[in-house]
Amino acid sequence: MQNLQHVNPLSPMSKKEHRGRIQAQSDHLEESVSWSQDTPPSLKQGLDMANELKGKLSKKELKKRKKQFEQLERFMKNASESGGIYSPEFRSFENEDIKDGTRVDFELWAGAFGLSLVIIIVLFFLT
Amino acid sequence: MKHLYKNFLQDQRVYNLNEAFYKRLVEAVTGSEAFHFFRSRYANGQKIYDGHIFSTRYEGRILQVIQREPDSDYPVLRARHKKWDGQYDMLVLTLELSEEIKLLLKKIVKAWLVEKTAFEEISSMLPGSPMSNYENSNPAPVVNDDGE
Repeated sequence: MQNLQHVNPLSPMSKKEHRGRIQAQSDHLEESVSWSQDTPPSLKQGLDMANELKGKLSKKELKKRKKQFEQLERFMKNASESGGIYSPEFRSFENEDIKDGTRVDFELWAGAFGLSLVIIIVLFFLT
Repeated sequence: MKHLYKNFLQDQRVYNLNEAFYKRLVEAVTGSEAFHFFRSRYANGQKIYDGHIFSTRYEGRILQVIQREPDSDYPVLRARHKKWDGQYDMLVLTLELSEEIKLLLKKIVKAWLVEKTAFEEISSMLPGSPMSNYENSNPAPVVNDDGE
């Protein structure tokens, strides 16, 4: 997981099959953790990335997004329990109490996320 | 404030009707059949009923509508701009659907998808209430400290 943060998924050189990012934003903040890899990120990877993103935020910014991170993690768990999700997919979890667009976004640009191990193995041998 | 499809998050039938409303609106504006750009389904086929109610891609531009449960007595329609996968311009609208917003929504969807209006101009079309809008246009300087 640690090597993923060095990947710029927008670079043409890094157009892997499974790409996306989670992002914490508002009108004064933009932090993200991206992935670009040959296999779909697992739920554990997704939760690790959420934690990595939390680690990039100040206590104040994290506090403003506590519920939104919980929603993101619930979404990823629900997706994983439902067989995963395929791209393109977008989910935005916004703090409606703060009128500056404080939110956490999930963006699945290509490939899949949270697929079961069996499906990953099948996909691996098909590609 | 007359809200439409009020209990869409509690009733899947209402949600589906509400979704069809956006599909018709986009089709009326673009003159072509509108399809969801984002899947809004899990891999097992189960639909996600969470307010990310409609999305579409038209001529290189993406529109995502996120509908909130109505609880405001003023028009709520906010917009933000994203770059999707580094290539597509994406407009994310967060709204409470009401008769007032319905009228404005058609103009905004047309401006974004058909007339290729710049996001800054879209912003200027939004309701002016400070409670229903915020500035959130382009990448902003990162402020991520604990200073009060």
